This record gives sequence, C-alpha cells and structure tokens, in this order.
Amino acid sequence: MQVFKTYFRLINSYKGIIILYVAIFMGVSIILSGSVSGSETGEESFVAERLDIGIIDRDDGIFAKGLTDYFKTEHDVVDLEDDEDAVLNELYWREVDYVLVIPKGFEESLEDKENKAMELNCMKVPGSFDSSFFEAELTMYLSKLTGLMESGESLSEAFDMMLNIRDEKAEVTMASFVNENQGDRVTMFFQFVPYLFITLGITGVGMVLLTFNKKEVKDRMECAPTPLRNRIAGMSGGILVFGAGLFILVLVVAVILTNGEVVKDSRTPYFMLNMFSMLLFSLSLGFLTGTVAKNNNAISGINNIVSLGLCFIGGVMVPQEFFGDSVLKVAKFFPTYWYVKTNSAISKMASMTDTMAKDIRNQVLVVLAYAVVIFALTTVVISGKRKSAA
Amino acid sequence: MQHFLYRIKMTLREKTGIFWAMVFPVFLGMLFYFMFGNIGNMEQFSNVKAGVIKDEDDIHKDMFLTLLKEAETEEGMKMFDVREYETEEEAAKALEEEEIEGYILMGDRMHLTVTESNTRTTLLKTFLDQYEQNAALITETAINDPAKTPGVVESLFAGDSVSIKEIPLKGEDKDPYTQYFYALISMTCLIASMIGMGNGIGIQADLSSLGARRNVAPTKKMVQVLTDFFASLFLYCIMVSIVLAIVIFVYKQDFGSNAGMILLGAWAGSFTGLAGGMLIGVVPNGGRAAKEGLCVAFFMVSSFLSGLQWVNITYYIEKYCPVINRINPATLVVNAFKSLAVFGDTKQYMVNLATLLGIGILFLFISIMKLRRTKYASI
Amino acid sequence: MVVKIENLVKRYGDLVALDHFNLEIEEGEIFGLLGPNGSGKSTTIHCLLSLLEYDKGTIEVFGQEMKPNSYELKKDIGVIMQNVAVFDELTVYENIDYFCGLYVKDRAKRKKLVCEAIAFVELEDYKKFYPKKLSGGLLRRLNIACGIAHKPKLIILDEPTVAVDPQSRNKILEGIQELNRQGATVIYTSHYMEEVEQICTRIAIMDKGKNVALGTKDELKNMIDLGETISVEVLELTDTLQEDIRKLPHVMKVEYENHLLKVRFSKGKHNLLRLFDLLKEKEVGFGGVHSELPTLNDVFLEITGKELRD
Repeated sequence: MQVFKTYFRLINSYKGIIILYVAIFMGVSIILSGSVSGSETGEESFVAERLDIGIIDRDDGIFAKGLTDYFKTEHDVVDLEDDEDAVLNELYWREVDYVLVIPKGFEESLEDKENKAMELNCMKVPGSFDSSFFEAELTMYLSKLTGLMESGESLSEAFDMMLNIRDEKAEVTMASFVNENQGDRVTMFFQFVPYLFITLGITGVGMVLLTFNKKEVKDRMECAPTPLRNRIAGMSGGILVFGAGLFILVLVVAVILTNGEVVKDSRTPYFMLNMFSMLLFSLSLGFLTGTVAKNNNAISGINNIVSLGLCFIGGVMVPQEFFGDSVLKVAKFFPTYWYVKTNSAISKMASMTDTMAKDIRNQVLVVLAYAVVIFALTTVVISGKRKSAA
Repeated sequence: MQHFLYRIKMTLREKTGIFWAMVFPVFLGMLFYFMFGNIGNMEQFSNVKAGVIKDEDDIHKDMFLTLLKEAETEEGMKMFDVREYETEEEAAKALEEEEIEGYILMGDRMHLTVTESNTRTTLLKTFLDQYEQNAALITETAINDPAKTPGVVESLFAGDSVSIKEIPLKGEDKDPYTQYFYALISMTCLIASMIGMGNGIGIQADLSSLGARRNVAPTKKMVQVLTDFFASLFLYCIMVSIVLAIVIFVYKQDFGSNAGMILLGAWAGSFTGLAGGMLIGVVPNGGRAAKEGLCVAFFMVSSFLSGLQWVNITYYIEKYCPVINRINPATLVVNAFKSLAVFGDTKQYMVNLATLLGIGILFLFISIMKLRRTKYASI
Repeated sequence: MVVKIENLVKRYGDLVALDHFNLEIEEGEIFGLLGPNGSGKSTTIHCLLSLLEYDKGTIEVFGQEMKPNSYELKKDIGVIMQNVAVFDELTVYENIDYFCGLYVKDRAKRKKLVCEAIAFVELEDYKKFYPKKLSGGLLRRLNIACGIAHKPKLIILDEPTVAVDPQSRNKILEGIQELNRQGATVIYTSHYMEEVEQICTRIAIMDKGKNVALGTKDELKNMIDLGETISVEVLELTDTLQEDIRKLPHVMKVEYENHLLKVRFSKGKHNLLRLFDLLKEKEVGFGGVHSELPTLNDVFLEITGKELRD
C-alpha cells in the first residue's frame, strides 16, 4: 500500500509534464478532428475541400465572371488586386490557396481561332495537394471551353453550356459494407491517442520507476521488511490505476467531442480494444525506459524522440496513404502503424464480418505482442542488472 | 574574455545541454528524413485498381473502356488498372477483399462504388465526372445543332486546353514537408532556453551558492550576466549552425540559397530562446527542477504551435487566433525560413526576424531589470 | 577597525533573525561567531556582504559603508560559504582561476595566485579533477581555495567544515591560522565550539539574533561561575550523601544518574580533594574520576539556559 501511495505522490510531482503532454494531445487531436467537417456521408465526402481561389483580372472581359460563376458553388472565388506584395502575403498566410492571373488580351486571343490562345498564369502554395487538384479541375474545364469555341460557339455561349453541364457528374456511393461515418471526428481523435499514451506512459511509468530505482532509494527499499512481491504489487497497482485514468480521460473527451454519440456507436467497443492494446504497449515502453534510462533528463529526451518518432512512422500524424513503398515497409515494424491501420479499419466497418474480425484481431495481437516483448525485454534487463550488481 | 571562454567550456562540458541542443534535433531530423524522404515522390504512384461491370450492351461501353484504359498521368503512366467483372456482386466482393479500390456501374449515368474517399478514388471519380460532362456536351450539341456534333466530339477529345503557367514564387523549396524541418530548427533554437535558464539561476545569490559567491566578487553583476549571455549565445549559434548544416547537407532539405539570412534567422531564434530561458531562470519562483520543466514546456508548446507535430496547425491558428502566429517565437522562426525558402520574400522575413528579436530583447530586458536588484530578501 | 556592525535588524516576516546586532572586528583577529543553527550567523554574514536586504542598521568594512556596488571593498574580501559553490563543469584549476579572475584581471599575476592557492590547500595532485570526483574533504578545500586565491585582507568563512572528515578539518583549521599569520583578518562562523575554541582569538556567542557574549575564550569562560565539573563513577549513592556533597564549599549542582556522579563547582581550589575526602569518610567505593574545565557550551548553557547543540 505504501508503494502504491508513493507512486501517486511521485506522479503528482510530474504533474507539470503530464499536463503539458495532455495539453499538446488535446490541441492536436481536437484541431485534427475538428478539421473533419461535421457529418460526412456517402457522396458528400467526395466534395473536395472548399478552397479560396483568387483571380487577378488584367483583361477586364467576361472571362473572369464566367469562370467565377462556374466555380463559385464549389469554391470561394474572390477578385484580388493586382499587387504582387499583397498577393504574396495572402498566399503566405493561406488566405488564398490558388491565384489565377488572366493576362491582358486573353479573351481576344481565345476568340482568335487562327492562333493558339495566350497562357494563363497562376500562383500557388507549393506542395499543396488541394491547389494541384483545383488546377486539374480548371484545366479540364478550360479544355472543354476551348473545345466548344473551336467548334464555333462564342465565349458567352460556351460559358452557358458549361454552366448547364456543371452538375452532370458521376454518382458515388459507399459500398454497403462500409460504415458511413468512416473517417469521422472520433476516428481522427482516436488516431492520435498513441501520442498521449506513449508520452504519458514514459512519463508516468518511466520517470516514476527511475526515481524508485535510484540507488539510494532502492538500497533502502531492499533493506525494508516489505517483501519484493508486495513492492511489485504496489507498483503494478499504481501503474494500472494510472493507465486506467488515461484510458478514461480519452473516453471522456471522446464523449464530449461527439456529444455522446460515441456511446451509441457500434464501433466503439472495437476502438476501445485497439486503444487498450496501445495502452499496454505504452505502459511497457515506459517500463523499459524507466529501467534503461540514467536520469530524468534522458527520459525527457527519449520521450520526445520515441513518441514523435513512433507517431510519425506509424501514420498517426501523416496519413499512411502518403507513405511511399519503402517507408511503408519500415512502418510495418512499428506497433503504431498497426494501431492506425486497425483504427481506420474499424472506422470503415459497418458490421463485423469474419474477415474483418480476423484482421482486427491479428492487428491488435501484433500490438499486444510488442507490449509483451518489451515487457519481457525489460525483465531481462532488470535481472541482468541485479546479477551484475550482486 | 577569460570568463567568456570559461562559460563556453562549461556549456560544452554539460552533456545534457549538448544532448538537448544537438543530439535530440539531429535524431528527430533523421526520423523526419526517413519519413518524408519518399513522400510526395510521384514516381511512387501506382495505378488505381478500378473494377468495371460488363453488363448490358451499352453503346458507349467500348469507347468508355478504351478511354479508361488509355488514361495517362502527366508522367505518362497509366492511371487505371482496369478489371472487368460479370456481375455487381463479383465486383463488390473484390472491393471488400481490397482487390480493387472501386467499381463502376455503367448506365444512364456512371455510378462509382468505393470504400473510402481518398486521393486515389478521387482520381477515379474525377475521370468519370469528365466523361459525364463531355457526354452531356455532346448530347446537348446533338440536340441543338446536330451539324456541329462531329466537330465538338473531335475538339473535346483532342484535349487541347489553355495552358496555365505557374508564376514561381521566388523561393526554391517546393516540398511541403520541409516545414517539419523548419519547425525542427526553430525548436533547436528554443532549446537554448535550457542554457539561458541555467545562466539565470547561476547568477542569483538566493537561488544558488554559486550565485552568492559571484555576487560578492568585485566584478560587476551586469558584466557577469552579459558575459555569460553572449558566451552562451556565441556557442549556441555555432551549435545551431551545425544542426542546420546537417539538416541542409545530410538530410538535403532546401532552406533557400541565402546562407547569410538562413543563419541569421537561426541565430536570432537562439537569441530569443536563450533570453526566454534567462527569463524563466530569473523571474518565476521555484527550484531548478520546476524551471527546467518550464523550459521544456516553453519550447515544446511553442514548437507544437509552429507545426512540429502537425504542420498545418499554423493555418488553423491563422484562421482562429492569428495573433499567436505573430508572436510565438517558434512560429516566427519557421515563418522566417518559409518566407525565404518558399516565397523568396525578404520583406516577410524581416518582419518575422524583427519581431523575433524584439521578443528576445524584451525577455532579456525584463530579466536584466529583475537582476539589477542587487540585494535579496532571503537567501 | 575591519568590520563594524551597528544595530543591525533583519526580519523574515514575523521572525526576527537579527535583533539590534552589534559587532566590531579588529585587524588581525580570527573572530569566531558561535551559535546554534538558526541563531543568525549566516544572516549576519549575508548582510555583511550586502547580499541580503536588512531592515535597520549600518555596516562598515575597512571604515567604509558596505554596499552591493562597493567593488573596491569587495576586492579585499574573500568568502567561503556554507555550501560548496563551484562549477561542476570546470576542473579544480579552472574553478579557482574562474573565481580568482573575478577579482584579479592581470593574467600573469592570477596564474601565480592560483598556483599558490592550490599549493595552500594541497590539491596539487587534483588540478585536473572535476569537482564530482573529489571526496567531501577535498571538495571543501577546493571551495576554500576558490575564496582565498586572490589573497584577501578579510576572509569570511561560513561553516566551512560541515560534513568534513577530522583529518581534512584539521588541515582546514591550520590553513585558516596560516592565512591569519600572513596578515588576513578572519571571520569564522561555526556551531562546533571545539573549532572555535581551537583557533579563534575572539568569540561572539549568538542566540536568537543577538550577541549574547563577546570576548576571548578565557574571558568568556570567566564570565560564568562554573569552575570545573568533576565526574565520579559511584556504584551506590544515598540521598543523604548527595545532600552532604551539596553542602561542600563551591558546589553549584549535583547530579547522580546511571552510577555517575557529576558535581559542578564554581571557582575555587581543592574541590577534587574535598570531594574525595568526603567519599572516603563515608566509605563509598568509587571508580574512574575525571575533571573537565568549562567549555563554551557551558558558557552558552549558563547564558541562554540551553545547550549549544540541540
């Protein structure tokens, strides 16, 4: 009991760090999950993100208006002043994602069938997927527009025709075996949970263990009449209560975030199972760091590297679909990868099928296996240390 | 001068300081490097596996299939790997087993069934949308002006378009993931706070016995404070430059070509980090451990807000609370680099740098005002 | 006059740490400030060095008022604080050089001073050692070297021997006397009365922020009535016999506990002989006998009514 109580006294002395990591976790996960707009179901989820498109019109014709009319339902199109500094500034702060410049004489060149039309110019934030996507849309639009004009339509006729066919699009449905809420807020939130678990596992288990293992403290404890197994029990009890606290914290935030809907969600038990395996992995990781680290400073460093590293490589922060093949191969060696994979598989799930059950079970088992291996490794390290000390 | 050199020696011999200032960022950078090295590399594009159900004898079917099969990316790769199925059930089964990423049901209107919305299925959908729109245009012409129809068909499928030429930004960096490295360097700068905090504690008689010993010496306190500060700054600038060099030359990240301004940005960041640490060492009450915690919190929170964990956070902040982006030291460093490397915009760079230095000077000023008090209420 | 403290008052909230404290120290003295923990010794030193704010009073060093920016005065003062104050990241030599450098700017001169200081504390073999590798006693010697390398005229030592082994302690004490012989005035605070008795030429006893007694050790001991304490091992002692002993001349106090008889005599001669005669007369067998002259502890006890050591 004494060890159990002491565990929480020590946890209390690290509350600053704990609050820090909880705050970072909350910040990232809530913003990340908030970036998933409300209820996305079926076809709606295929609407590309609404972008801010700026148009600089040096031609003063009807082209800018025609373009605006066509795109304004899907994006926010605004006229920009022709001032390079101002435009750069807007791009810099991403007040616009894409800027189209219509050069002087463009419309005329478009109507002149003998010569090739003038070039349009654009400015965009480099590497933004959304603005590249918009550009592709724009090119396809322009291709049709010029096609119509080549076959004899005037510019304004072509604009009208394009407007008419704007909504002629393929229908998209999600397969019936897929949950319509896939990739929703709660999924995104749960996806980020490994960061919280790992950082706090290392803090709450690693740092506390390190204090207990300090030579002076340890020697004193060895001399005390409390049997080793009682100390281990007290310690384990403390760690379990701490872990349970983390778990509950995540669930409570999830409930608040979804206005309680997560309680009714049929996927929730599976999400919890997945998180539970991650929790065990994180706690045993903390156990290992507490055993191998020499001082608290080292643990802080390890904590930052390991938590960020595992989360990046596992696809917690950068979507796994962006990974190249070689990164993917490496990623498979990390439990966070399997956690995220399982998380999105569960998110997609409408009802449990045999294949899915097997997949999810296997992936959770991988994470658990990591937890067990690390735990075993730690006990080996400990017994090694004991021998060398004796 | 002697004390300047000794301060440098001390900082160099303090291994945890070196770990935080150099080993930690370099290690984290290595992680980023392996993570992002391959991302965004379009050669990695593999074609989207699309299922098509060959049911009734649609007159468009053959043409559509050809178009689908022939569609190419800009780099000349086939966009789709087309597989044909007899029935929708078969296709659905293939979809569930992840053999295909979506299947197309032809009819009056193309119907796409997928399991998730991502960049790859979006590609498929966009293709179908274009097909639908072209078909609609042709139908419309056929109704209104049948004579024009062949011309429209020809010009639509000729695929000529107006070309859109990008006016490149003046910077050279085109890789969005470089921002993680900007955030990394800015974190390195702010880690200087650990050293600044140590300096702050070491000169105060009520916080350390060393401080007491140095207070009773005939060398002016301000001289000692500033010697420490500039010695640490000098050394830290070297360390941050090394980290920067590793990031640029080993991890091959593009920070732009203006070496002087890149270094200046990192040094200004170190200055502010050091001054911030000094403030933590001097102003709040509490022991060394508490202050160390404050330093960690300072550089982690600041780095978090500048996008170390997730790059797009700055844009969200810009939307909801832009003032944070204007005063958060880590964001200022990141944005200074960004304006150089991405935008080639010296004006923005200067604004960021000036704000950064301003904040650093403010930190330093407050610390010095507090340190000017030469007697202590209790020791 | 090297140090002159008048009417010094220092409060920590409601606690009065120094209560109208006065002190004058002459050149060439080894002046001891003796008192239990919390009596105000360190507070006095900190005020004297202008580190602490104080509520009232004046402090003069070498005839001038001591202020935080009295750099000319500080040059002639060497301080060795209670806690070891050295840089862990600098070697023995570098530490001494660092602190000496705060006092002496001239490099050649400093080099000579640092070497002398190292020789003085006999750390020649440890020049390149880092403080963490030094044992407690060696570390204290380094601490002292850092404070005296610049050859100050006034050396202030605040409990420099806490947690030091007896051998190092003797070296330190001898060293202090040597520095004094070389011309330095020394202020020495301690709660070990033996040390103070051993080296100090003049002693002030402090209690509750006040200077309760001042003088040489003999003067201090003369202040009190106690002449000597005689302890005798006696197997059995009746109450009546105790009464008889009490009636002997010069007896101040009689205690009998655990077969040990303790008799305190005020000044006077033949005390021991009279006691023996009495015991012989009553045919009481006795064992070991020893006699103690009064210590500073006795002085403290008599003045304040409590033991110096708690």
